[in-house]
Parts: sequence; C-alpha cells; structure tokens
Amino acid sequence: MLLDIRNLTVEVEGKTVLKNLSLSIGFGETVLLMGPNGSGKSSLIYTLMGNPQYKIKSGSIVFKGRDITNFSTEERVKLGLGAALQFPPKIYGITLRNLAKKLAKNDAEIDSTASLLNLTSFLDREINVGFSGGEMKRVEIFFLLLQKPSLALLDEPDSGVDIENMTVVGKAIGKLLSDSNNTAMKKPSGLIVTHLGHISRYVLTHRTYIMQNGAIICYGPTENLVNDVLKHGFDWCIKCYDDRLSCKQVGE
Amino acid sequence: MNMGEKIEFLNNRAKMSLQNRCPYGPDVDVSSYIKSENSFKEVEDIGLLPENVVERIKSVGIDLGGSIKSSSYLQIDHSLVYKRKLYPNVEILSLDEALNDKYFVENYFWNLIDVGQDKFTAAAQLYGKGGYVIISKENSITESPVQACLFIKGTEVFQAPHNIVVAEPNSVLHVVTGCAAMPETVGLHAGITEFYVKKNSTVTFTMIHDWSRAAHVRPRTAVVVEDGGTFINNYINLNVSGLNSLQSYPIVYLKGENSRTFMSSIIVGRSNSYIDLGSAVKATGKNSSAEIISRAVSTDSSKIVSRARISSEASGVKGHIECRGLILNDGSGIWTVPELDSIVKDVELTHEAAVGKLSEELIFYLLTKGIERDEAVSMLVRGFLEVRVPSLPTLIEKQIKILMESSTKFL
Repeated sequence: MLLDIRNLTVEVEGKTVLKNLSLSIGFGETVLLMGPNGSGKSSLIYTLMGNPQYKIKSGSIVFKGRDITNFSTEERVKLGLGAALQFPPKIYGITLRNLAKKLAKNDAEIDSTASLLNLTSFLDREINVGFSGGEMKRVEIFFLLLQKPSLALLDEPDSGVDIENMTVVGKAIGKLLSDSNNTAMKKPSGLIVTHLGHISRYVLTHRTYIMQNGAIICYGPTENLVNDVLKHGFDWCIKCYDDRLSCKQVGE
Repeated sequence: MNMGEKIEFLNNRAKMSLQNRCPYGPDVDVSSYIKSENSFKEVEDIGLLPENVVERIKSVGIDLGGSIKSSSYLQIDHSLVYKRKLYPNVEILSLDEALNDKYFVENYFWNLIDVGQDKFTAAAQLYGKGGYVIISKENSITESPVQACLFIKGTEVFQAPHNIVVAEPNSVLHVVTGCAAMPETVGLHAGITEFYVKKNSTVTFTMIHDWSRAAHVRPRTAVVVEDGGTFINNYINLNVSGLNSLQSYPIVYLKGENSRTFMSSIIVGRSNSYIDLGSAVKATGKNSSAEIISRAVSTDSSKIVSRARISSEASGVKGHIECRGLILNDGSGIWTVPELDSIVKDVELTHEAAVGKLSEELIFYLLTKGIERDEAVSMLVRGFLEVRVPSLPTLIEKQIKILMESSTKFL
C-alpha cells in the first residue's frame, strides 16, 4: 500500500473536521473522493500535506511504509506527496517562472509544461494575481507536473474550469498520473477530490470514496458510484448510508 | 538679489541654523564630523583607484569603468575623483564649475530647499564640498543612465555634496546614484539634491544606498515638476552593511498642470539601524498625480518609520499611497505614517497601509511545492520587496534585479 490512513480524527480550532477516517491507496492507483460541500474533503488534503492548523487527535497516516503522522510538510513533500490546492493563495512578487525554476530540470521543461496547460503567457505573471478560478487550477497542475510526486492530491481540479480547458486539464492530469512523469518510472498514484465528478470522464480511476461529515460513508467502483451520485445527488447517498446503518442496527 | 548677495544670504542663514534640530530621526552632533580634510585627487582613469573602493562601489550597482557606457561622476569624501561625459545631450559638471555661472546660481542653487531647514542643510552649505550638476538638453532623450557615486572612505567625514539636476523642456534623463561607505567607516552624509523637471520632461532617479554600521545619513532632496513633466524616484536601501541612522523626507512639488510623480522606496532594516524615511508630494498643478509606494522589512532590532504625505491644492489631483511593512522578528519594528490632505474638493486621494508578519498560508503553500522553509521565507521577502517602477531603462531594471537577488538571500 502506498498510502494507508487509519482511523484519523482531526480538529481545526477545536472543531472536528475528520472523524475516524480510514482510506487506502495502492501503488499506481488513482481514487476519486466525492462528497457534498463541507464534508471534509479539503481538510483531508490539508491534513495529508501537514498543515499545522489541522491537529491530528488520533489515528495514523502511513506513506511508503513510514508513519508520517507527525512529519512536517517539508518531510512529507520530500517523501513524495504533492498537492494541487483548491484555493491557492495569491503570491505578490513571485512569478510562475520564479517558482517553476526551483522545481524544473531545465527551462525547456518549464516551457513545454506551460504550453501543455495553456499557461505560456502566464509564466511571467505573479502567481494567481488576477487569475480566474480555472486558471488557478491549471497553475496548480502545472506545478505538480514539475514536482513529480509519487502521490498527487488534487483538490477539485475540475471546478471552475471552462469546457475548452477541461480537456486540457484532463490531459494534464492524465500525464501527471502516467508512469512517464515519474523519474523512477513508477506509475504515480492519485487522490482526486471532486464535487461534480466531471474529471472521471478524463481520468481512469480505480474506485470512488464518498465522504460525509468528515467520514467515509461508502466506496465502490467509480463508474457506478459517480453515475448514482450525479443522478440522485449526495442526499441519496447519505440516505443509503443511513439505511444501511439502521439495517445493521436491526441486524444486531 | 545678485549672485554675491545670494551666497552671503545663504551663508548667514546657515550660520543661524546650525543648531536647528530636525523634527524627525535621532539628533547628530554635526561639529564632530566637520574637521576632516580632503584625501583624494581627481583621476584620469578609474583603474587608478584602489581595488577595494572599486569593488565597494560596484556593490551599489555602479560600474564606472566597466562595460556600461555611461556618463559618470564619482566623489570620495569631499573630492571629485572622476568625471566622464559621454553623451552630447547631457552636461555633467561639478558644482564648483556650475557656481561660476550667475544664471545657474540664481535659478537653481538652494531654490527648492531652505538652507535653514535644519542643522544638516546649514552644515551642508557651510562645510559641504562637491556635488554633481547634470543637465539634459532641450528636446533630447538619453536612454543611457548617468551614474553618480558618493562614497565615504575616510573616518569622521562630513560628506555633504550639493547636487543639482535640470531636465530642460521635452527631455528624458535617467540618473542612477550609488552611495556607499567603506565598512566600519564613521561618517555623516548630508547630500543636498535639487531637481528641476521642466515642461514635458521625464527624469528617473534611482538611488541605491549601502552605508556602514557607523554611518549617519541625512540627505535632503526636493523636486519641482512643471507642466506635463514626470519625476520617478526609486530608492533602494537593502542595508546589507547596516547603518547607524538614516532620516530623509524628500518632497516633490507638482507645480505644473498634468505633472506627475511616482516615488517608491524599498528598505530593509538590519542590526540596530534606525531609519526614518518618507516621501512627500505637494500638488499645486491642476490634474497632477502622485503615487507613493513603500516596502519596509525589519529584522534584528532595527526600527523603521515609513512616512508618506500627499497634499493637494488644485482640482483634479489624484494621489495614492501604499505603505507595506513586514516585521520578520520581535524586537524590530515598523511605524507607517501615511497622510493625505486637500483644500479643494475635486480630488481623489487614497491610501492603504499594512504592517505584519509573513503569512503562514503563503509559507505553507511554498512548502507544499517542495521549497524548503528558509528558502520559502526568502522568496516571499524578495517578492514583498518587488515594486514595478515605471519608465526605468532595462539596464537599470537588470542591475536592480541582480542586486536584489544577492542582497536578500539571507533574510
């Protein structure tokens, strides 16, 4: 297993955002994480990246066989975690190229990656300053492609992206998760958080998790689950879960 | 008042003002600095200067003998050491040469700054020596910047050159000055600089300062901008070598209709430096506009007061002040003092000021991208100090970039 999260409970400013959450991702696997707004999807990404505001109360995170529960962000990134954040900050005074230069092998890689994401004309602009939501998503994937993580955490890469650029984003994520984008020639793994599931049309995923109130309430093959959610909405999912819970209770 | 009478008047007023304290910044006993004598002679070739002096001058972005083709002026302590005129449209004189001209004295010598303003202006008139005079000819554009360097090498030197820059109508002039001192030099610098930006002219003035830990710096600068003229002021003091104290509050008089100014200052406070730096604009020309931008970073136990003032007395004036301060550690401090005032209603004056620490959100973001913490902090500080100054020639922009890269590494 590449990533193994066991019974994780996390608080932010005293409020519980993840409750006893367990999830695992194998080598080369890509999984989808769906759930309504506020269900804790982004909290999971921040927790995995070691944001100090997210306090782990119990449980563990094992990555590449090492317990990284108490690792700093720097250590986690060194080990191979990378993220495309849902709401990345604006950074005045630092251009895309400035940061890309720290991550890329050479200028040619910066240029070709920017071109893949239609970002060539953005390279000398300050990061996210005056960018649209969709442009920021592309910027995040651009940096991830240069970073080449073993596990890419993508938080809502498809929200706010217009139809023309959805293909671009889909293709870029496809590249990110293909073995050609890893120096060790090992196929990277992915955790893709999505609200609407659009991205599942562009990226092959192994399974989908549904999240509600900081916990995983269901998982299964992406095809069935995404279709069901899109058709019936998350309420249906939640009801199904509640029904299963009550059945279980009756059974007990 | 004829020329002789004017000089006599200036000297008398200066004598009466030698005890006038400046309302800003710590007081300095001027008398202990005014004893030293000249120590340098003018050289024909810059190669004749001591190597350590040339290197130190390069550290403030001035390359006198090198690849950059530009007109130059170098003053060490009190003496004019080197002067080179390369372009026919830009005149470079020493102040002493210019003072032989009656018209010059009457029109440009102490016409913008009151010699009795404080003890520093007074001492500059009475004991100051040297200074450059740069005049761009009417209807001329000179892209290559004039380089001027004021350097303190001796000990307990009072260096107070009087510089005068005149841009005749419809001319474009770029001036870069590097001011520095040899390490550990005890000195007081109180340069006087007057700018006359005439009709439809543009002057950019870039100053790169790096003094020594024991230096006190009190420059006095004033600028007048006529109809359609533009004055761009770009002050950079990354304070790599530290300084004891710096106080300066240059003022731009936007006298002409549609005149404009952009004043930026970038300051880093290190060790126990005390820095009180401002930019003031008085707009009396209709539809004139002013923008003042400052970035201050305090480290160690340095203190920075960042002042900005725009006063309007004419309709259609637009002005904006942006003061931002970044405090890198407890024990250092930043005070911002933005002021706006107007006595007419048809104006648009705004300001924004912010003081605080580096955002943890931004640091976290860069960490997630694989940047190490120290480097993330240094990138963010460097980004914070980035100000886009309009109208600068690319040569100056490049020089500043190199300087910023090398001087902010350890922040």
